[in-house]
Amino acid sequence: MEFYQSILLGFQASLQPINLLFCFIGVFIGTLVGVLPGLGPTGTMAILLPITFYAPPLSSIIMLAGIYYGSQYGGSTTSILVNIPGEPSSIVTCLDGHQMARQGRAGPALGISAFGSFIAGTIGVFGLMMLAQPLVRFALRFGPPEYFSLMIMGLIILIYLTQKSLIKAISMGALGLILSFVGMDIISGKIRYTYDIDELLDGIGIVPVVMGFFGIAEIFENLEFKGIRTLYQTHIKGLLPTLKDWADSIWAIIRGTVIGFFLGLLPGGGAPIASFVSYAIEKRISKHPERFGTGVIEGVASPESANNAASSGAFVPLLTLGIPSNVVMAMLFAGLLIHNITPGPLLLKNHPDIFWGVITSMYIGNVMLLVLNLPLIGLWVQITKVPFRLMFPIIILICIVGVYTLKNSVFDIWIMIIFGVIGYVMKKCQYEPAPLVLAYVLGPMLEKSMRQSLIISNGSFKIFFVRPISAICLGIAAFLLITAITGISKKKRLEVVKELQE
Amino acid sequence: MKRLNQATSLSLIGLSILIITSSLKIGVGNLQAPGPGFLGFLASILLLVLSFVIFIQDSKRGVGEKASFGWENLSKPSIIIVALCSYALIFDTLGFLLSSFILMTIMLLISSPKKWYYHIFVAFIIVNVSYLVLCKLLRVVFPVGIFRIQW
Repeated sequence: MEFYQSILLGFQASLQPINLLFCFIGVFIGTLVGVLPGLGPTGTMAILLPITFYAPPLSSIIMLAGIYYGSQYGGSTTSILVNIPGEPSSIVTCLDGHQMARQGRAGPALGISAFGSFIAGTIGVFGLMMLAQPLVRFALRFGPPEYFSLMIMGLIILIYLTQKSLIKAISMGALGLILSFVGMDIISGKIRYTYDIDELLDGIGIVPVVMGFFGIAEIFENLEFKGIRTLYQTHIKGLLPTLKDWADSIWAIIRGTVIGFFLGLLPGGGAPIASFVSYAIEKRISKHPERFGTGVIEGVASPESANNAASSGAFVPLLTLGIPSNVVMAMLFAGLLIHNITPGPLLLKNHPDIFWGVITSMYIGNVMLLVLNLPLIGLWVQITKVPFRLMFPIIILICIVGVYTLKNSVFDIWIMIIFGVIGYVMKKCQYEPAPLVLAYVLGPMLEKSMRQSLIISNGSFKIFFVRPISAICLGIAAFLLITAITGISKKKRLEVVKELQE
Repeated sequence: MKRLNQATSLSLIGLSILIITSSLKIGVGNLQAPGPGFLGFLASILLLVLSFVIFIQDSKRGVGEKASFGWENLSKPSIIIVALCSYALIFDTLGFLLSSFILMTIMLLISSPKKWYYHIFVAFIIVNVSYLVLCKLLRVVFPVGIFRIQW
């Protein structure tokens, strides 16, 4: 009964006209950035974070969440039509999706992608609703040692799944932690690492950092691209998949949904991994694996379902444990903190309207996305033709204005430019920004929980190993780290990277 | 590539030494009572060691090894970086409207082969529309600069 009341409360909040409007804006922008190669959901969320200052908390989070799962829908369009993935999670869709387009079956490919995404997104939200409450009750038993170990595990999993150098990923995590410690110490009140720069007393703001890393650095990278993106000239007809298409893809959708949702739950997991794993599994269990890559509809249905289910699953650790499982969730985490709302087990108790409002808004958002993506497919196709050279000056201006309005300070613009350049150089040197941003977001919580744990245990590190949950998390983290360092999993990791690159 | 990698590693080594020194200065504390520099100290030690390993790895790499990226298209990002830094310098002095107009014009000029007056016109429209939305509708306060340009 309490569960249904909660859902009703959620719908009551998310169906408010202002929230519906923000949900629409979120999924619309999400589809747009998904369609446009170059600017991802993380960069877009970073750019739009300052705007959320002016909006109610629930509306802001609904919009930011909409950008995330909306981009998963939109990302498939360019994969299928242009053979350029709009998002990393749509890389796999290129394999069969574009082949289908070349065979004159762009319509069913786009159709099954949208329907699969809708089904997976909806089931994913249902899974989120079912899991959220029990997990919150479980998480209320967590103390500082458990939180510390869970965050360490999240960071290590993200580092483990890195596609490039493991050492570089760990060093990025360490750099992220260092940056997060700039400013006032949360426990002693001492000022640290500010080097007499007054603007650093409050720390380095998350918004200029992520805007620099994901907005500005991405623009710099795209400016180097000299090639011409060609749209495959095909008449898109018959968006509704045939009965045979449905028969071929329904189990792929279901499997993709289940795999995606559970991979989304894992700290460090996310939509790109989910889409890749589900495609690989689908190919492995298929009766005709040799046809994968030649334009089979299961090759589109499975990864597209998985990436949408994963985007729902990723909300579980954020909303229940207060731990962002990937960089996009870290953006949402920052969005909640801007409004003085701390994600975690107490979110359900203190802000049930926000907790359930965000969840139920995803149902509404999924319906909006289906409407946006099928009848308006022609619009999205036209948008893929807009040249990047016309868009980037506007994106940069939005970034500048967004950062400046945070504190009316030019210093933040400097921070954004500096981190943009750093992010650009780091990408050139094969450093990945994701561990840095996640460590940066988790840094203050990590430090607080570690120091609290050590104070509780009178300086004994045993506290992290004698408490079962903490010990399990640290055990998993240590196992992954050791296998990665010793090279046991190196071959497997490299295989995955190679396949992704192909 | 090799030089850039080495320069990046050296920068990270320099940064970690700086943080280690600062952490020791503000107090690392001990396990019973960790100080404000405790985790910063640990993180910078980790960064120092790893950056050193990366530096050694890069130094061992052959000079003739093929670069994994090209620098041939670097001109546009470089111009934008210089333009952005200049923008941050003149933002308060010239005000939002004038400095943003200059920045937009530069960005449009380097990105598109169209005539210069077309870019000036587009930059003028974009800056003024954003000014209208932000200043007039959202009440954001921007610097007006020494010429006090506003409407």
